[in-house]
Amino acid sequence: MNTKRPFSRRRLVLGAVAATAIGALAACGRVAPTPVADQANDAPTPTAASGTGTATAAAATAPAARQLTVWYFDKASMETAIPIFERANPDVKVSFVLQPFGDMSKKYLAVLAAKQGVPDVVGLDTSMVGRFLDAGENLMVQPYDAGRLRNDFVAWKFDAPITPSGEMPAFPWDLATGVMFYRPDLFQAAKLPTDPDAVGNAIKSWEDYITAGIAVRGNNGRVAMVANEKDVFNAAFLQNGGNIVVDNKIVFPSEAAGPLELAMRAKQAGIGANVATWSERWAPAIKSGGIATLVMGAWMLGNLQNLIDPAGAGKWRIAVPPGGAFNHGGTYVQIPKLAKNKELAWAFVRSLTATAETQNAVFQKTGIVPAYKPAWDSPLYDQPIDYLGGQTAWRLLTDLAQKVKPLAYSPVDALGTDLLSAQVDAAIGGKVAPKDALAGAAAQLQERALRASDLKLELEKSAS
Amino acid sequence: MTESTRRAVWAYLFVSPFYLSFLAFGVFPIGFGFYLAFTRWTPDTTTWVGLANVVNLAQDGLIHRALYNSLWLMGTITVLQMGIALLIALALSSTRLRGRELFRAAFFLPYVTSPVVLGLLWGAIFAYTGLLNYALGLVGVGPVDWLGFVTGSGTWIKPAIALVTIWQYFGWNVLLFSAGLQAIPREIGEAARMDGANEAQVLRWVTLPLLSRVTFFIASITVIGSMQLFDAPLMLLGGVAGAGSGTLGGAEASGLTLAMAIYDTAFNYGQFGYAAAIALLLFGLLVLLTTGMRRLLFREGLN
Repeated sequence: MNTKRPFSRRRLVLGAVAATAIGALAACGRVAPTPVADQANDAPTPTAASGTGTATAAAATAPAARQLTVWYFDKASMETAIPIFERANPDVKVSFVLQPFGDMSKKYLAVLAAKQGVPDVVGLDTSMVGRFLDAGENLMVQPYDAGRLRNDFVAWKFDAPITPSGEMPAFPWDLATGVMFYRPDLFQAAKLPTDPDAVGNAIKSWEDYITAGIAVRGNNGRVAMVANEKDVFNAAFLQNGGNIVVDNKIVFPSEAAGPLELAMRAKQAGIGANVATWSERWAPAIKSGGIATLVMGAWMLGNLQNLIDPAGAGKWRIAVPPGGAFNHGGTYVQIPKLAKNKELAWAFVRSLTATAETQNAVFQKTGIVPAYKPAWDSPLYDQPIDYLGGQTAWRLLTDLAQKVKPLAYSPVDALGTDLLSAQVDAAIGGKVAPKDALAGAAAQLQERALRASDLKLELEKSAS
Repeated sequence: MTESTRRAVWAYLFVSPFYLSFLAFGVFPIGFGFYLAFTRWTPDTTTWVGLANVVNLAQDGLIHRALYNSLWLMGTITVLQMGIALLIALALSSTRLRGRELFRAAFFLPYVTSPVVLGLLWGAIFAYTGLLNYALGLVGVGPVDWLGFVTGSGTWIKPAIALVTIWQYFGWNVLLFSAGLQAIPREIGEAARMDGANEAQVLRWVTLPLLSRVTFFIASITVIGSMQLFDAPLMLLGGVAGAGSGTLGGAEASGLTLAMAIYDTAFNYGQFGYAAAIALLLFGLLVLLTTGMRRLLFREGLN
């Protein structure tokens, strides 16, 4: 009944099409921080400099012009990052292929199946990583030796794609920190705090959130706290890790049980607007002030500003989400095993993800927050955000990003998420008991993984 | 080389462009699809697994669901679409009707419209706050959650898909039936009437039997088309209309057709071998259905 895929930025794209019936690329519109006057502040840190330095040295020894093919679904970020790499490596020509978000994994699967036309570097949304764990070069071994970069990255983001056998088939790029967007005017009308810090302190737990939701609903019932209870479920599930399968064990029934119970309580309390996220009624409900909070990835900022509520500049703020930190999307890059120029690809990946220069140029252009911590030293992250009424929120995002629980990806993430989502919808809709819903989804995933992939997954003791 | 061999060589040379491309883009993919159905595919390896996929198919609850949905849609669409088309074709064959070509063109229009446009159009019609529910509201019927996005109930998804499909293709059937009716010599009907048959009897014992070849053709393409139904459910439940991801056929998997199951299995979940096995199942079903129908229709027909 609403988002089928809590992790995915694809929702963004679909929503954009629904809301505006224009091309999907607008959906990746993000909010850029105000440019800083002194670009020297943005110089690469020593770590980053050594990264590009290696790439340049490698390039200098190569005699002929070299080609690198890169696939990604966001134009602005790649078109910012590629010229920086090409300047440092004048003999390299990077050809960027923009793949629409919705087509990305399908096209990648197709070229992998054909073993033809495989790109050298692929940018994958978090929701896609699990499917391609088999497809990527193990970056932990020579000549990559990615492990030595681990301390520069947000730990959970770096560790999540590492398989039980210690291989690392994808490399971290940006973060998608979960936050609570809220409307201070609607909070004030409900006699709730309006300052971001005070809101974060007043609404610490989901219990607080439901209580505040009842206040927001008030007597006339015109304003809802949240668009729908599924959003509550999604955020709370991600706070628990949002894992589908860990070490061949289906773990979502235990991680999703509390969140589903919470969503049911939210439904009982009547704090939802009964508007499905990304449905045709969603954007109008947000724009008209019918929904007081959105607990989602910080990338929602770009959507609010560019697509959903451009006129709402100054009306929204960001606070720490109830229930704590979570991750909602974000990107990894992969060097396919079938790539032709793996070493060059690795040089590009490092230039893209592990240099402050590239990361902050991209951040300035798009508002994508890097997982590469040295980049955060830049004063760019202290800039106020106009759309949020001048709130300086970037530091909040980087702080929250480091508190996300460890998580893991598995080949059946997409399938498990779809099956879970359908059952959660049924439970929230009152069609099936919550416990049966989760056990049912787990049984379906176990059966289907066995049938379609010969993957023998265990059920948790408590759930079976 | 004799003259005749040389001529044959030249002939083969001239027809070869078609056959070569047919081999490359027709025969090879079909053959490879059969091979894939007996393998397990990962981005890394392709493993021969014999009949494991087929055995799994027989026990896969989601595939049973897709099979049921596809058969439901096939039955509903075939019967309603052909029934409506035949009635309209008979009406259009009446010599008293004026502006016949205009009607035919109007009925045919949806057939030549892009599926994406149809998806957007019907998405707006079926939306919870859409046109259809508005119209129903005017006559006092409460909003129906056609696509299951609001209530999570899949009850109305299949009827919605059937409606869109019938609307899109009945005009094509009207055209075919009309052509079939025009091919029946008027004299046969007149002879029957002179022997005392009334209009209903002429229809039952003269027109319909003489239409059986056309009927078989239409039934075949409708059965094949509706068993392979893909774009309508995908457009309505995901992608363009926007509210759902379209994977697994929407609420309660009610819109999951076999073709969608193939697509999801291959391109969303990366299980190409298993997807090829589902395709094989669909292929086998279509062979059975069309041969079965041929027997049924021609038992009392012209053969």
